[in-house]
Amino acid sequence: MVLTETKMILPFLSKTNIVNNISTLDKFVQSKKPIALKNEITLKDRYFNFVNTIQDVDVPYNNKDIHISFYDKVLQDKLLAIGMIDAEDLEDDAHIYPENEQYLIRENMNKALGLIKLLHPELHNLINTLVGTFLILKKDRFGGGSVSNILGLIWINPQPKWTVIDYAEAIYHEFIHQSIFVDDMVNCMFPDPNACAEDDALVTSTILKRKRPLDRSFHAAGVSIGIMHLYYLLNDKIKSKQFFEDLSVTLGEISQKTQYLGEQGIYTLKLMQQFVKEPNFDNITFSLNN
Amino acid sequence: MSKQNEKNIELYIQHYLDGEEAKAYQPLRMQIHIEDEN
Repeated sequence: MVLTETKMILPFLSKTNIVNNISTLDKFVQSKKPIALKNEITLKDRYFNFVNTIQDVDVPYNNKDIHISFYDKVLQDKLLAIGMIDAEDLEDDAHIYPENEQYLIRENMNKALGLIKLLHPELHNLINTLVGTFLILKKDRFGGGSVSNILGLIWINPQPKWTVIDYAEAIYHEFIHQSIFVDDMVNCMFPDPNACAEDDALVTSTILKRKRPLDRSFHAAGVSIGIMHLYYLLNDKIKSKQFFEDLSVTLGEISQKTQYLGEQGIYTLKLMQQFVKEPNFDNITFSLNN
Repeated sequence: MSKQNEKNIELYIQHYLDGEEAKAYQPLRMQIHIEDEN
């Protein structure tokens, strides 16, 4: 098919880019530490071979679906060591959901993944490729998170009032962080992450609406586009526009501080600015398929 | 894989995963923060 128009493709929401990035990571790890891989190897096998070779903790994964775990001592200790959760969160095992709640949360997670699959099957495939494990842990005032040094793991802390759509939003939200981490690793978005936390580099976050280090606010800008895309797919006309004003502020501030960005960071920033100027969610639907 | 990609991956590992710089770095934690409703 010949395309008659040029589509705006955000790299972190592009199937081609994500697949190419994994292929590059696979080549990198094979060049450093070659291992015999079985013949019928999947993209997810390649990604997690890389992830579990370079990281100091193994993130459990399988090809069929994403692990939903309510207790994993190794991953929990790593989250504690890097300060994602605090020792007080673990007192009296308060971080572990009771069994009756675990059942409900697992059901809701599976319904949310099913909803994403219904709305966009290839988005579901990409999430299943980049995510090995959802670790469900309680921590007051947080809904979950991702961390740049444990790729493939997403922490989720579902709130009692969350609908299945809220679960789906949290999953899409964290998937975007994972995709940006990978794009940063392969194509360099933030060449000096420590510098992004300096006073001069603080930028208003689209989602939290307060000044944050530039790399975090860049991530939040990308996430806001994905969340609006989810609501576009759900035909929610209000929520599919909810971040445009704040997104424009964030991108304007980042564009004044491009010295903190690598080549891919600048490229992605320009595309996000173009998206704000001429929003087209069908392009995102397209790029996740291609 | 280009030489530049290789350098980028090594830089990421150095920043976030391995080495002295990674130990000093406050990890890039992206958390969904639930605002107090009160």
